[in-house]
This record gives sequence, C-alpha cells and structure tokens, in this order.
Amino acid sequence: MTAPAAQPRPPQSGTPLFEAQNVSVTFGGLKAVQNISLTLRPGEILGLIGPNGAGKTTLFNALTGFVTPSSGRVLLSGRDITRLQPQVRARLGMARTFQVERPFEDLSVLENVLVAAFLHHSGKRAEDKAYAVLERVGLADRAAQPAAELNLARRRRLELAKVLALEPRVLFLDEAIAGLNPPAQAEMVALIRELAASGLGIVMVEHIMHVIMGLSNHIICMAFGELLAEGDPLTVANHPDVIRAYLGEDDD
Amino acid sequence: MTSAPLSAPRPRALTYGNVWLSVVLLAVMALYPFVFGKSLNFGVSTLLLAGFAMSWNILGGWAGQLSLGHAALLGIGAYTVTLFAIPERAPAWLGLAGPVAPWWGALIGMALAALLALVWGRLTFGLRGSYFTLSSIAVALIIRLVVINEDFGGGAEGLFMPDLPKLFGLDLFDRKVEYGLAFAFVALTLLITHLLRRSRLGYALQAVREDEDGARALGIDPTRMKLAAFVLSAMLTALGGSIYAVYLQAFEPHTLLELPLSVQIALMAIIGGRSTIQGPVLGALLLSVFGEVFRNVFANANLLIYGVLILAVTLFAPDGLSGLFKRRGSKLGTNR
Repeated sequence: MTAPAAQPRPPQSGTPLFEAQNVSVTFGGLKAVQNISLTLRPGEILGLIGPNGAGKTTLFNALTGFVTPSSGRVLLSGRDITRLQPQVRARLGMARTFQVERPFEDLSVLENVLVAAFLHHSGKRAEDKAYAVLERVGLADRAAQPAAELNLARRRRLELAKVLALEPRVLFLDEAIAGLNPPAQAEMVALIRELAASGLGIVMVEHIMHVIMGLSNHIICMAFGELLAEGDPLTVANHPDVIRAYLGEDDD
Repeated sequence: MTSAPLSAPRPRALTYGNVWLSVVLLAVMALYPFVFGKSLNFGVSTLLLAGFAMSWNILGGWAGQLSLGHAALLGIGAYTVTLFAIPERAPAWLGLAGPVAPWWGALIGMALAALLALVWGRLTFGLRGSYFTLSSIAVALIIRLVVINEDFGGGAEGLFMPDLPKLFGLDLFDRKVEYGLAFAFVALTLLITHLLRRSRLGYALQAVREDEDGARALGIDPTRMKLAAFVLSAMLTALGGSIYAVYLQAFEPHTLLELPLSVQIALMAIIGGRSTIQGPVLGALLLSVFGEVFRNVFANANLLIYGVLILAVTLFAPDGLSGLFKRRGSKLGTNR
C-alpha cells in the first residue's frame, strides 16, 4: 500500500499473467486498434492512456472478449483466450468494469454483488461472500438499498464490488476514478493499490493524469489506434510525442 | 438523503419472496369450490389461466423475453395428451398395444414442449430486442397451420377426448377433480417461482433481463439462461395444456392455437405485474372476473375490456397492478 508509486518493472520471469500479442481491431475499413502488445504480471498495474478516440475502449473490449480482434492473440497464463466469450473468461479469472457503470437497477446493492458471487459459490456462501465484498469496498451499510438509488461514487464502488466478487486474477478497470470528487478519488486509488498488493494484475484506462501516473507501474499511450509510447510513467510523461498528442492539449 | 440506522441488521438477499401471499392465495383457491360449488367451470378456467400466466412469466418476466406464441406450447400439451389417449392415433402409429394414460401423455407433451423450446430458443436467442417476440408469433402460426392442414391432429375440426382411465380412483371428467388438477398446476407454478426467486438461475435471469453485456461480464451466459427459462416455461405450459384438454374434452385449433390466446396469457402476466411473484395470478383473476361480468353486458365487445385495461395499466401502473402496491409500500418506507 505504501510502496512508491512508480516502480521499475520486475525482471521478466516465467509466463506472464496476461498477455496481448499484436492485437488489431478493424471495423469495416476503420482500423480502431493496430498492433498493440502488452504484458501484465501479478501485482502489476498497467495504465492505458491516450486522447479521446485513441482506441482505448476498443482495445479494452478486445482484451476482455466483448470484441473479437481481427488479428493478434490474447493469452491468460499462457493459454490462448482470443476467441473466448466474456462469460467464459470470467470463469478463468478475468473481470472488467464498464466506463458507464451499469448496476442491475431492479436489484438491491447486495443482490447486484450476489449475481457475481454466484460464479464461484452457491446459496448462503454466495451471499456471505457478496456481503464481505461490500464491506471491503465500504458499501455494506447500503446493502439493502436498490442499486438505482446510489450516487455516482457509490455506483463506482458497487461496480468494483461486483468484479471483486468474481475473485479475479486480472482486473480491467475502465475509468473507475474519473468523475469522482477528490476524497472519493483518494479512496478508490487506495483500494486499487490494495488490490494490486494482494497480487491482482490490473489494467486500467483513466483520464486523470496524476492519478494514473501515480498508480501505474507501466504505461501504454495510444493515439489513433496505434502505440505512441510506453514505459514507466516518467518516461511516458516526458515523451515528446505524448506531450504533443495528449498532454499538450490538456494543459494549455 | 436518508441514512441507514447505525445498528441495522445485516440485510438478506436470499429469500423465497413473499411466501405468505402465495399461501393466502392458495387458501382462497382451495376454499373456492366449497363456497362457489356451482361455478366450478369459472374456477377451473381461471386457475388454468393463472397457471399459464405464471408459466409465461418465467420467460416473459424473469428472463424478459416476451413470447406471443405460448398457445403453441399449450397446444402441444393438449394435443399430445389427447392423441396418446386415442388408441387409433399415436399408440397405433407407434405400435403400442393400447392408449397411453393422460399422466404419461402429459409428461410426453412436456418433453416435446421442452424440445421445441430448445430448438426455437437456440435459433432466436442469439438475436436481441424484439426478434424473439416476432419469432414466437411466427412459430405459433406455423404450428397452427400444420395442425389445421395435416390430418394427424384431427385437422381443422380438432379432437375429442376419449374415455380416460381413473387416476387413483378419481374420474378425470369430474369437475371437482379437474379443479383439483388446475389447483395443483397453479400451486406448482407458484412453488417453482418461489424457488426461482432464491436461486442462482433466478438472479442470472434478472441480470440478463436488465443488461446482457453486464451479465456476461459477470460470467453469465445469456443464451443458456434464457434457454433454461424457456424450457421451464414451455414444460409448465404444456402441463397446463394437457389439463386444459381434459377439462375441455373437445377442442379445435381455431380456439386453442390462435394468437388471441397467446396474447391473453401474456397480458394477464403484464397487467398483473411481471416483476412480482404472484402478479400473474392476480392478473388472471382480474381479467377472468372482468370477462365474466362484462360478457353479459357487452357480449362480443368483451375484448374492449382488454384494450381499456392495457391502456390503464400502461398509463397508471407500468409495473402492473402488483407494482402499484409495491411502489406505495416503498414510498411509505422512505418517508418513515
């Protein structure tokens, strides 16, 4: 938790937890993602940045099975999962959140998490698991409330609770922090750090620069579907192309 | 904003729902023959409709797949039980020695309905939106046309139920026995719905209904879940259909397999409240009573009632009648 934010990548050893090899996604004639490769190890946080329309969300969908890559491979612990459906990937230990959080609004907060907890548990054990996850993300006092009544910050936490109830090994977070007020941001950052420290591999898309720079071990910057720069946060932040394509526009 | 009490007990998600309301409803149904012994026909048909609406709701309410073809599944139950009871029909084709007792016929009908639901669902659940509804109308139409134009099911004239063996010494053509069967049918659909309420399948279905991609991300296969709901719904509907055939004793495709019956089943569930456990029973009761009361007043303008009710429900109670009570209940809760 208190580890310095930007660490050098651990030395390469063994099969990575999650790997993408030259993934491309084409919609008709549009090349939304071109030749992106990445590697993720347990406990590592990989940040995905880039201006709007850079193809981050499409890459995210391709990595999580919601879009099939037109070429390239996606591997989980060395196993080729490129063509597996998201529901099968969830069983194998992959979980994702959505950019626009989508609770099941007819269900209570607890029931939302229960749906996910049923993946690995049944009956009463699933309910206990769901409640434990709610306690972990600080939503236990809202358990009985209809999910539709939650405010944005709590919806985000509910989203996180749902994926945690899947007991994943790899977590994909699509803008889990953007839109939250500073205290809520700090809580979410702490939670994500804690998850990585417990051994999860995390891939996250985020717009707030200081947050993702502070959290990630490794950063991939995309623009127009292509890789612009990658490396540790400091290197990427100082990369002239990145400054031109992305930061320059934000900081005028 | 209201905040939860500090020492609130840990809330429970896994419950069987409002079991007491079902117990009360079943008690009323059980007492009905003793009070209205002369109107058993109304009782049997209302109970059967309630059971059909409950069965429909497993697919339409829980899985959110609106079927307008359930008359076909009902028809499969009715036709199978009858065809197997007539010695010169199914038993003769299959080389059986004699007629098949209706309880076995009902099981065969349920199996056939399950098979049809599997194939039908496989073909259509991959598509999203209203494709399933459209396909359900088409499938029911095809089945109706086949039955009318082919001789195996009596063609356009329909079938007569032959003499049936006694069930535990009970005459199946006795209205009281039929009332008992219809009652058992409703009780079974209620029981299954309560079990569904607490089950993994039940939660998966609700998740799929609200957001398929969100459900997939949580490890749920939407197509498989919808198939499970469809098979369950189809089997129960076929079971009710076979009881219906025994009750009618004679039926023809023009009443049994037509779209209006499918629409009626769906509407009872929708008007009663799709998102509740007992809503379909209340919807069936309401529509049956209205139908009975206004039949004499409006004669053939009976269908008008449906039109008015649909309008009233969509305008004033989009969650159905039970939703009306529920909403009032939750309002009381937040004010407290």
